[in-house]
Amino acid sequence: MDDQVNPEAFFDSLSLAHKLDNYFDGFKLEEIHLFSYFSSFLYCYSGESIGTWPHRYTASNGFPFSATIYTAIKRHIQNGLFENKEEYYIISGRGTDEFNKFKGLSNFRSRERILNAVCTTAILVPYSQTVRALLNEPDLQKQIQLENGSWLNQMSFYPQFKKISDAVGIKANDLMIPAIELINSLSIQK
Amino acid sequence: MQKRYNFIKLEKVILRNFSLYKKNGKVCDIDETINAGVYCLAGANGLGKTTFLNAINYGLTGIVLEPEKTVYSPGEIVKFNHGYTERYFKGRIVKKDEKNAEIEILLRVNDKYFRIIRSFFERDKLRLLEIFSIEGNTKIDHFESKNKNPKELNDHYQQLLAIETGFINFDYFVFYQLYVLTFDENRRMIFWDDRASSQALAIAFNSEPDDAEKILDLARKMEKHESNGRNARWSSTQAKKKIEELMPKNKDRKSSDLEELEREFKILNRDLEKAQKVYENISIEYDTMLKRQSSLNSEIMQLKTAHTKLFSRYSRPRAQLLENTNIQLSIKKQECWLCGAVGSYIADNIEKSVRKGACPLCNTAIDKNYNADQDKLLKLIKKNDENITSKNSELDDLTQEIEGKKTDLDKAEIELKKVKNRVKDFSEDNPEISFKGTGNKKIDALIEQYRSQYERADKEAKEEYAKRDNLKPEYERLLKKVESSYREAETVFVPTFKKLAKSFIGLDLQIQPQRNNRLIKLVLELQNTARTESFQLSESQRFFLDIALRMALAILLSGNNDGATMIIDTPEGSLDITYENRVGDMFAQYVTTYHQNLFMTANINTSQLLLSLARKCGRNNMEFRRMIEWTDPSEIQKEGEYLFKQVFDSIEAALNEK
Repeated sequence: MDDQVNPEAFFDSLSLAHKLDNYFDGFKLEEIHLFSYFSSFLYCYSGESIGTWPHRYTASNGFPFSATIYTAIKRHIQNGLFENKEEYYIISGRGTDEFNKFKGLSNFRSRERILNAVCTTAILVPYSQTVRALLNEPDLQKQIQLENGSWLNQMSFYPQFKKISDAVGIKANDLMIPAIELINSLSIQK
Repeated sequence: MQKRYNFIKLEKVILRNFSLYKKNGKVCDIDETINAGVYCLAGANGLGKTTFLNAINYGLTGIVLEPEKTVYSPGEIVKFNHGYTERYFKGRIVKKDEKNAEIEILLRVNDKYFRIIRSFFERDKLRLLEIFSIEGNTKIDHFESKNKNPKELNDHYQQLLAIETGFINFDYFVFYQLYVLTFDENRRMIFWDDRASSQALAIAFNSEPDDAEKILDLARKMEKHESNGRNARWSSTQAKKKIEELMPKNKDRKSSDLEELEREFKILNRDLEKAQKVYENISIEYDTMLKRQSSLNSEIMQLKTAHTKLFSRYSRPRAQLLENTNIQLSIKKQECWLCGAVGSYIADNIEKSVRKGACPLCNTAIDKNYNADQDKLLKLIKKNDENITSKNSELDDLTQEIEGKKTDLDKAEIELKKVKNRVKDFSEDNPEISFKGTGNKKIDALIEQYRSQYERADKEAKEEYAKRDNLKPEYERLLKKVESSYREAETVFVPTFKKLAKSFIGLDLQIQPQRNNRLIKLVLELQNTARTESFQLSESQRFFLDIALRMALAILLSGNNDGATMIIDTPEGSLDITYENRVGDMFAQYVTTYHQNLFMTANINTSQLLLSLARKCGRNNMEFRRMIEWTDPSEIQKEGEYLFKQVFDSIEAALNEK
């Protein structure tokens, strides 16, 4: 039987790929998982409960890994929406068409706001610093060391909120401000 | 910070006048020096290996656990086991030796030695208590036993040992000694028993020792209030039934001279009816809204499921060309039939090209219906998305409405209570108006009696449930602390357990804490299986994983260099040879890698466990004792003596290998 494809995973992976490719001329598959994990933080910050975020993550090969995102990416590759360029992937013209078809769906519009903020951050802060900071997230680091296959504890985001709220105010309509603040705060974390 | 305990290290065990152990027909005093690492007592069935372990635990705690599976909380152990303890040694020690039979134990905690002597028939007394340390060649006493009676000596021993080990009181030492550090012949598995595991975790994962006591105390109190509440509820229901049975016999009886009061009473009752009706109506509306909310949630869930299916269909790879024989052959041979190129990349590239839905050579669309089908699916997805959005919006509106309705309901409830109180006050002030009676004085009296019984029980039930609910927030707060302490400790605990478990079971196990109602337990998962499926293990596999968990816990909690001593009774059980060998490895790791101690007994059979343990530990880390030196073998055992000798010799040889 075919794997079921989660609609949000279908869209999130397509949208993240589209943006990362536009900004950086290609992407690695683990970066899609990483930026999806980052998105779940902003989702929380925007006032939603982490329990309603559709993906859960474990730590795999030093990166967050979501099985739902993985299944969606596999389909995108099979259908020629993502193209393998040996070292990295790009989104094909057909992939961009698909993204444009779906981004208007009401359920995806609110996701697009978050995904957009996440990827734009990576332009404003040097990309390598963004990736390093995200990989420095304490629970991710702990689970990488433990190799116990536990779910990453997304509840551990909540303590970060206080720091960020103190820095940028309780509610920031522009999600990029808390996103950048998070990267800065993770960058200096030991 | 994770709390750690200073576990005891056994140094010497002496049994005097213990009639079970006879050599050449004479009671033989046992005097065993206990080494660090593994101490293993091996012997044939029925010689008294289990009794020896029970005697040691008795000497330390004054308790022998009754052979049943229940694990009691620290405060309950003595209460439920003292009767069994008082009977246990009868028969094992003959009548004439009862008075003089005693156990002497020398143990060490940190730098202090405790020397105790306990009679086998006075569980709460000590014949001797010495506490001392050795500096150079000088013995320094830390306890003055003069003028203290045996009961007082025992009390001092319990207090001082608890202080030295770091347990909040002696009951907790007993809990750890008997349940966590001892795996006896009853094979109690604490990590497969929700209550036991929850207690062990609450004690283990706490930065403040008082918290464990508070958790267990709150859990006990909540259970008690719940049970009282249930009993009172049952009594009130019974009383209500009785009233209902008697009420049909009611007849109105009017009093002509109290018309004014009666009129007032009627108005009050009308108000009550009205308030009742308002409350009921709002309650019905509220209930209907909740049902609609539930149905909307279910509809949204179904729409989301449909959405997932549509996306799965939409993104399903389609490629008619894959069925083409030339292409199939090219993929199989990894050789392009068109240009003849060869390589492992051929299959990947061909698949990628043909999945695009157009001919890779001339770029003609292959499946003309493909785009039309995709368009149809896209339309369905859009429609479904609109439906989900519309239902979600309806749900949001309804949720707001429900909040408003809940406020109305609370207000109506307050109003109803007020009117009820007015009616009650009036009834109490004017009993002749409010109670109309049945006309039969005896029945009236009976109804009154049941009514007061009902009110009393109903009030009690509500009070008991309220008391239970009042304790919940504090209980919840403390459990969260345990979970957070576990998270801190897991960096040591999890890898230790995984390592021990893997050496035994050969597989990577994962371990997660899980909340189940009021309890926290540890759940094992096998890597690469679905997380929701429980992993089936045989009973003997579970025994040893339970031991591995206890070992990991002991390693985590050991606060001094001596480590903890696990007492394990004849572990080999029903294991096959391969697993026996692996258990030997696991035990050896516990002793050699983690520097802990093992005090065990073993039967003499194929003894793969002992052989593997002996090879890994060597003489420096393992003492092998033959029970035959304490007891006379039976006739049957004499017949097989040469077999025992063979096994003993091979174990001795294995000890010399390292």
